Amino acid sequence: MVKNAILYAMILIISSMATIACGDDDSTEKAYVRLQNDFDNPDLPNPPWTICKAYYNGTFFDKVDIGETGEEFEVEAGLGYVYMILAWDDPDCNPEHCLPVASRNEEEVVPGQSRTIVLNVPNHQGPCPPQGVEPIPEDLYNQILELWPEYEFEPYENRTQNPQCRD
Amino acid sequence: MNPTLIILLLALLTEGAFPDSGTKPETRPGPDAPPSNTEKQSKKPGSKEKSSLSKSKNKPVKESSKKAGGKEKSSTPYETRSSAESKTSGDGRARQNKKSAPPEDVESDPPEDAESAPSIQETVVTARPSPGKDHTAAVTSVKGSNIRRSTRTSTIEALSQESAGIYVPGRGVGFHGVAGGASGAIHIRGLGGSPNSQVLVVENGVPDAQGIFGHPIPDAYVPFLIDEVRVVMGGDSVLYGSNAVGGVIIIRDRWRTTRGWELNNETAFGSYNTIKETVSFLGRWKSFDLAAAFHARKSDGHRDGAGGANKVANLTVRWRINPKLNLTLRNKAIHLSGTDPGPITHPNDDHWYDVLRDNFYLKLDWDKEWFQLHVVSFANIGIHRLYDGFFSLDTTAGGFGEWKVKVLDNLRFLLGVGTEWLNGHVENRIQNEVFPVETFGNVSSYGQIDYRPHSSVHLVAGGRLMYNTKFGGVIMAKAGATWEPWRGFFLRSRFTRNFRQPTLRELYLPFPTANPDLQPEISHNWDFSVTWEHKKLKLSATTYYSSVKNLIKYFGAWPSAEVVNIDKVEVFGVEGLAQLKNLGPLGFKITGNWQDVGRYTKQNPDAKINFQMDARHRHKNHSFLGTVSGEWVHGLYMNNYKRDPLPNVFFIDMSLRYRYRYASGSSLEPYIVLRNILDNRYAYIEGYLMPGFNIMAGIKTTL
Repeated sequence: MVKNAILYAMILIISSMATIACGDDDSTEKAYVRLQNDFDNPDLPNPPWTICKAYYNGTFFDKVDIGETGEEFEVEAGLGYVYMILAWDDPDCNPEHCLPVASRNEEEVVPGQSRTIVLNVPNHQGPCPPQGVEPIPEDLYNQILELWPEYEFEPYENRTQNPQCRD
Repeated sequence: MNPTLIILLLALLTEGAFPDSGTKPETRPGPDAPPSNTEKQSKKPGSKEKSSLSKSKNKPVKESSKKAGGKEKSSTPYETRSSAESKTSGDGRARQNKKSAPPEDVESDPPEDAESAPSIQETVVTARPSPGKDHTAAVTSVKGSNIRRSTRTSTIEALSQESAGIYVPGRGVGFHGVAGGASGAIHIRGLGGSPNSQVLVVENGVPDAQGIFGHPIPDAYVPFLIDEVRVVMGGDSVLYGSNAVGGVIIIRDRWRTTRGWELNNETAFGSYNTIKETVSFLGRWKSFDLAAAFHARKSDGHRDGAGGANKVANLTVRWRINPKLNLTLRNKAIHLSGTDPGPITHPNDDHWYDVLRDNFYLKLDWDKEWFQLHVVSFANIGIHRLYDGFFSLDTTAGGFGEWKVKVLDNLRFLLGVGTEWLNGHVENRIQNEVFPVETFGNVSSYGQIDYRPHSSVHLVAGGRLMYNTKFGGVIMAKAGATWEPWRGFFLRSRFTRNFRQPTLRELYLPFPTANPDLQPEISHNWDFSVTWEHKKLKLSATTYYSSVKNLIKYFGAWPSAEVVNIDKVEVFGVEGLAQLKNLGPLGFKITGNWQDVGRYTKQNPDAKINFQMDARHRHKNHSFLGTVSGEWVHGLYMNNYKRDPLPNVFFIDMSLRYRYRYASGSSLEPYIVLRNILDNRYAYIEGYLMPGFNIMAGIKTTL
């Protein structure tokens, strides 16, 4: 009798604990992200890049001018690069001034997080001949070409032949 | 070299009694739980310790009497164990203890010469659970002698060998190092890691951590004086405070329990010009006890830059003011130096580190029939220097008082108050830059109720209220139960709510960024175990779930990195243990762990298995011991989200020991340790290949 009572009590305790432990799952896998154009950071070199278009974790972002922070967008939580079309010294983003660029860091957001991802000299990599900037890997470059085929960028093998690189 | 053949050969050559591996059950039952068969056989034992000190020390251990080790149905649950213990007073050691040593220390290890005797059954001398501790916690208990005999190159790696729920990566021949490129991150059931601030190390009752980075230094623990290490799986911030999130590693040093002295020396030399020298001295005179030890280890390392040198010295003095009251003073000094060799693809030139630390405590223990009082004051100071100009001076100081009282025969309370203060100074001596750090501290009160409504049931509940000068109040709680419905069959479950306070680095230091507004991490841990223990077989299975909220996490990189309280870690896993014992000269133990750690896969493997096989033989004054042990780690990644996978880790180690004991009680014990006998190429950390086949040989002398 006593053992049965203890057994039931034990089951109750364990099931309660299990409920407590398992019942607090995330209801969302979404996060909220802004992009900051930090290419005017006073502590760093200032290449005049305007962020014309961007894509991060399933969401397209709007244009972000130099020194500005864009609107907040809902994205899928997780890890990924920021893919961008940047325009050199052209706030109007004319295609002949644009290049495919990705963030240097694989950026992360976790469910429910609101985060501003900062893009600046240390956090970008592009196709032009290295000038202290990491060359963009082929898979990232091709991803940008798939996202924005209308820009008709050169294939990866000829990435340095893009118009902006030749300027 | 084929280890199976060697073991078979050993088995053929050996005969006689064989003890278990010396590791206590992972699921620790209540204090009056029936001892294992091994314990039953040897719990008469005090005779074991006696044998080591008397002329009869080389005689086989006699069968124990029921009184000493068997399960006794006493009138009250708490009396069961104490009565059993009191009945061991038939031997010399117990009588001696009864006269002069305070009860808390009666369980201290026997003299070194006895504890390391290969043919002596070991689990018997492991202490009973202390009255103030949580008997419902899942505990892996390892004797100090087992750690000293381990084939693994550091104390925390030796703990990892004993339980698959503990994961400790290495990077070489026993030097874990500090700062960049360091190894030795301790994961317990998927929590912890780098830094180790989610795992708390408690040394002789005193929390031990580097004050600025808030984590233990893996190289600081050497087993020269260790009596026992208990790893509390699942954390316990109620009893131990901050950082006891994933688990608590409780190290307890040994004392000599009879009048006289003993001197132990161990000298070893091995591959890569590795030299180890350890000397310890324990004495007991009139009302004073002394434990002193020095350890030095030096190696060139298995590759350029992988060498180092560790020196650890310890001096502890205890004044037995009267049989119930004693005062203990202890100082431990550590000097660690070495280099981070860097990954093999990008080796470093000279990334050196130099660490000097000193730990000090003063403890007063008052032990009466119905209550115990412990008052402790401690300080932990360290100076760290790195090749890049980093210099830090950190201090941790605090104290606590703990009162354990037996209200009824089946009801006990533990009440405590404690405080801890952290401070530090950090600068870069190359760039002449000082990084300001603000002192913060906390005060807390805590309590625990230990209730036994029935001889087979044990219930524990507790709570801690802490106020921190930086982030205010935090409440911790826990509840657990054990039940033994049938003899040898245990059910156990426990729930704990734990916390980790932010470190000074996370709050103030720009490495790469800081956030003074951080709040503590909060964890909820739950586990459930089933254990069945038979004369020759023990089986145990545990399932666990942990969730850490308010996770302190770094995002981005310099110069736009940030550190915030965000996200949570969720870990679900199962552990298992199978142990064969009393099979003539052989013993075998295997532990396994599988876990799902979600996206936090960085150095947090999916599965791990540890195994060990022993063969022992004893003939007159001669003893032989052979062990084969190994580890397999699967699902290891260098980064979160299962990125950068590493090949499975697998290696087998082996050791052979011979011991000759003189009639005077002195002994000589030459040994050889063969590591990675299959010469496997493996790495826990990408680019830090572990050594291939290597050897260490030494001799241990006991006077």
